[in-house]
Amino acid sequence: MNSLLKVNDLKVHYLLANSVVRAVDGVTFDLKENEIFSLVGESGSGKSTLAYAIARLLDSSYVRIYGEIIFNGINLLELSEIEMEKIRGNLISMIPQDPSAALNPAYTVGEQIAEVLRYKKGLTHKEARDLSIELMKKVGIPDAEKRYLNYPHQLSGGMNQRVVIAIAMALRPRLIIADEPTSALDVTVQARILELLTGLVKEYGSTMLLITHDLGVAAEVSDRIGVMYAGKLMEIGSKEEILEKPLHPYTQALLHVVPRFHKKKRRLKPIAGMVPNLSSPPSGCRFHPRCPYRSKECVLQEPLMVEVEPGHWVSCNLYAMEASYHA
Amino acid sequence: MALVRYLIKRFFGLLIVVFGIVTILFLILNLTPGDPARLIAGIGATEEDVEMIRKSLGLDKPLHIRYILYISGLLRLDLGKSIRTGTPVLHEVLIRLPNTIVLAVSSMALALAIGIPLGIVAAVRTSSLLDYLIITLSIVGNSIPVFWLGLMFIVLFSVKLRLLPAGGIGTPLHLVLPSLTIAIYLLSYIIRFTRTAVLDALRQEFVRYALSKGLPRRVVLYKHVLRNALIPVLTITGLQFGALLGGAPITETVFAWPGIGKYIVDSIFAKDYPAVQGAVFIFALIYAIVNLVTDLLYVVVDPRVKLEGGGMRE
Repeated sequence: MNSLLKVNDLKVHYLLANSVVRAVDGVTFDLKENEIFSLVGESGSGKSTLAYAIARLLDSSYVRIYGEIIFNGINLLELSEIEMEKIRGNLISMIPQDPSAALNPAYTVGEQIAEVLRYKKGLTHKEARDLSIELMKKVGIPDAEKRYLNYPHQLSGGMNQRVVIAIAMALRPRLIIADEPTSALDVTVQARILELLTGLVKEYGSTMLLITHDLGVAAEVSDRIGVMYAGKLMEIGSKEEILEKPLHPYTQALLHVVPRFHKKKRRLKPIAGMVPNLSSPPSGCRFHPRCPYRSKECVLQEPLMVEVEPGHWVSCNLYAMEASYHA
Repeated sequence: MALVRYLIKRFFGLLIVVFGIVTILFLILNLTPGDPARLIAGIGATEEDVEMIRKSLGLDKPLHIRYILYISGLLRLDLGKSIRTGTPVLHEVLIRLPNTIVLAVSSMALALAIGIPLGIVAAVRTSSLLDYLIITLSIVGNSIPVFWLGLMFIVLFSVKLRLLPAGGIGTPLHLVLPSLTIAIYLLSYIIRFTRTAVLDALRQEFVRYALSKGLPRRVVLYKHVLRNALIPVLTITGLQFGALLGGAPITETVFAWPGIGKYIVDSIFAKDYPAVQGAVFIFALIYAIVNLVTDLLYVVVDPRVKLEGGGMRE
């Protein structure tokens, strides 16, 4: 399958008053056409930063981005702001973490869908309105004609989430970046929204990059999963590989904190220690202070990403010797 | 219906405020030293003359009787007669009100037309040279005393360049200098409020989200940011405009502009109690009404604001 998006050695640094936070520090992965790829990590692992870096939505006054983001054969980091503007919405759209904060409180939800159709597709007010109502129906908003005139604060979190999904889908983009699309919702609503989202992605033939801290959510919907820790990718593999045969001690630890009810009773094991401070990350492997298998080597040497099985990559010194090296 | 209930409640609140202002004003005027009767009688008048004038003005009655008479007059919209001219105060105020309104509207329009764009530019180019320049300008505008600025304008544009009239009313040209003087003072507030509000709105999550939709930066700024930034600007505009409608005493005096401000100042010097009381009563009334209108405008600008009971809720 072809790659739609290739992220090569991406680094995102926040320049603060007296320190540099390396939120993303040398991440490489790719997204195949039509797949759903989940990026899993704790809060502060740099996964949201990565998402916004791809859409070039970080404030360039204090953010520096290095590396390559090849989308559809074009390096997005080399595009001008105007060129990027054309890509956003049309080819890459985003689903925000908290739709109630992302939607503008001063405009109706209908207007916030319709404006995309007007500005990006050149539709008239009436055409945009009709199409917006159709989209609202498609994402399961009841009474779409009435809801069209509602303001975000008049709708529930779940309804607002459906609105931003409608906006994301409005122009049938190739890539959808969903940043924790369900974390602001009740668990019961979460499942329905995920189902809707993945259904639409498949129907429209889009590709989705799903950012989540919830391995359960990732397990539910993804084809492949990448595990991020402290600004680095620790492991990439198919959903089955990550869930059934996790290689990295961090992935293994993450799986121990997900409650599983169908397995025999087992206490959840929290991961000891704290997420490191990214302005002065640990030496060697970033996970070594919390790793039960650490050796001297881990403190000194940063492990390389190695392909243990075809398509299953891990960045850990335990496996460094077993497989061939990849840069 | 909610609107009607809201308006009724606000109307009673407004009455209480105006009543309070009128009472305080009455006490201040009547308890400060000085005797209007003696002022009118002039130097060399006999005690009997002064006593007679005092009696004719009703000043011989005790304070509480005078207060009751005054309030009952207000209820009949009878603001009394000016001591100086003998004409009804209401009439005196009403013939000056249009002048004050014209000056207030033109200077506020000028301040908004210049201040809002400058505030936006300062916010969008925050920490740039342009930003510092605009902030400095606004501080300077706020620091220059209005009377001095007015006089300097007269010196420059009227005396030296002979372009504009130095005072009085009549043509639109007469409006330029006093409007400019007030606008420069107002500008500093408008600029700083707009700048802060735009900066605040720019930091909101919905701005980044609007950009992620691929909307042009200009649309995000003028549509998504500005609508939200307008709310605090509206507040300061309402307050300032209300104050302006009470007349701009200094500017009106400098430019001999026959508005309410100048009338109040002249009346104070003449110890013309009824005139001062009447003019301030009208001013208080207008100020309270402008505030009410401002509050109603919030509902138009910000859909989250609901009119409720005596106040508003977000």
